[in-house]
Amino acid sequence: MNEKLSSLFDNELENHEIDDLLIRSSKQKKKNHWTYYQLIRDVIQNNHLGSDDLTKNIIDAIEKEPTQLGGFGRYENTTVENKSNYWPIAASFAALFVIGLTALNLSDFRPIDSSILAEADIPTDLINDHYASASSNVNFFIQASHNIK
Amino acid sequence: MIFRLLFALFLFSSISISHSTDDPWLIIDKATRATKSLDYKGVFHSKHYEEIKSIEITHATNDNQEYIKLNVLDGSPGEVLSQGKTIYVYNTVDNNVIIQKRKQQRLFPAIFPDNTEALKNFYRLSIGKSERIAGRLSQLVVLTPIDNFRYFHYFWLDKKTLLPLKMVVVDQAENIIEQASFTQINMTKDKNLDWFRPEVDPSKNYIFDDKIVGQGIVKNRFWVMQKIPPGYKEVDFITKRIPGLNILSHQLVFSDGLSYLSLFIKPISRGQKPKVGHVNLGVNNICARYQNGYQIMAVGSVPLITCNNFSESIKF
Repeated sequence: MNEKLSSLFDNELENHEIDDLLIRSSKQKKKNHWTYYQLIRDVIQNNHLGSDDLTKNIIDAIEKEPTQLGGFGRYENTTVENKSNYWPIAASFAALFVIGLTALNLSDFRPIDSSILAEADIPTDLINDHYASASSNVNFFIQASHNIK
Repeated sequence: MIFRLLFALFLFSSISISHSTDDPWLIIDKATRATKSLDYKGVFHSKHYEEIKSIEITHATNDNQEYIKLNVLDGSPGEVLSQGKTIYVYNTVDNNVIIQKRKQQRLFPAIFPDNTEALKNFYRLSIGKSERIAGRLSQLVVLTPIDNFRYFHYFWLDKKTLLPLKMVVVDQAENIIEQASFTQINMTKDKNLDWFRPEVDPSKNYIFDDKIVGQGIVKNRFWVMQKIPPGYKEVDFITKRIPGLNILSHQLVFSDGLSYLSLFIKPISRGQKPKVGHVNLGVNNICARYQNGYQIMAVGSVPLITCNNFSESIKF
């Protein structure tokens, strides 16, 4: 049955076979298989453009993604070649937009005046974060949870 | 008579030789195992800089799994309940008890790393005299650093079980950095685990903070570490969002097995002046450096040279 469905989407069936297949598949509720084979065909024939949900999910993910000014790492194991060319471009523009907005709130990368570190400059969060990960002292380990955001 | 004396001398020298051929570091391995396998209940004092707290500890092993309950007896209540690799902290802040799941950490008396091999390259072990600690006879073991990148560690191990009963960390100038010592301890045989539950105060609000501390957003690194002090290895890497700004702050934790240091990498906000130099805050040295828009800070109960070395080791 599945082989027949696959052949149908590859235009390899005769008319009488198509009728027979449609009747049988509607009886057996093969909706999921239909969807899969349509998707596979569209991708192979370079006709798949994604869906509205996919677009929304990508935009939402980009908005949630924090900016890492030092740059992004490379994904070395990327083997699937994306046939839709405009999604990476759109994603890149969106990422650059977010980086640009964030950069407005940050200092320049040029050297700027620095001041000598004083005790008052040490944020409590910094010490707490250190104790939460690297203290052998139980009391400090427990108290380190105070300022968890 | 002379033959008897010679025989006795021979026997004594044989015992000494056989004793000296044993790897002295085995005592640390055995102490590590003791901290995991023994069932005991006791109270120890923990001193960090000028603050001393009494902590009650109950430890048991059941079906090859460790159960630990630590209870802070002085000041604001706080508890740690640990089962296997799962650890929960109950921290009382005013009328709230904040419950957090946390990462496993080396807490007294379980202060030795699982693999003591690395310690051998950077500490010399020597056996000291016997002393009574918490009513039990103990053996002093001293770990002396071979360089200036770490502190001296003194351990008093129970002679019967090798469980660490006391620990003192001392800097090069012989100032005490940290110490913990049992004041009472009893080995237990009861396998009942009824004690393994938090003390509930009905007058408090219990808030579960479901964020696992130390498990941040894993991101690829955009820096390299160069020439870090010998023996120190990265043991943790935590990335957090900075509240209010959509940017990331990174924390790298390094350890030589006994000493720990955190290295923070955080972007400088607009209008904020970067800091450079170092300060001493209690037992912690804090070293600051600025590079490429980032504030780098090393924090740790380690010698200043180690702290400086780490803050200088990051290259973008």
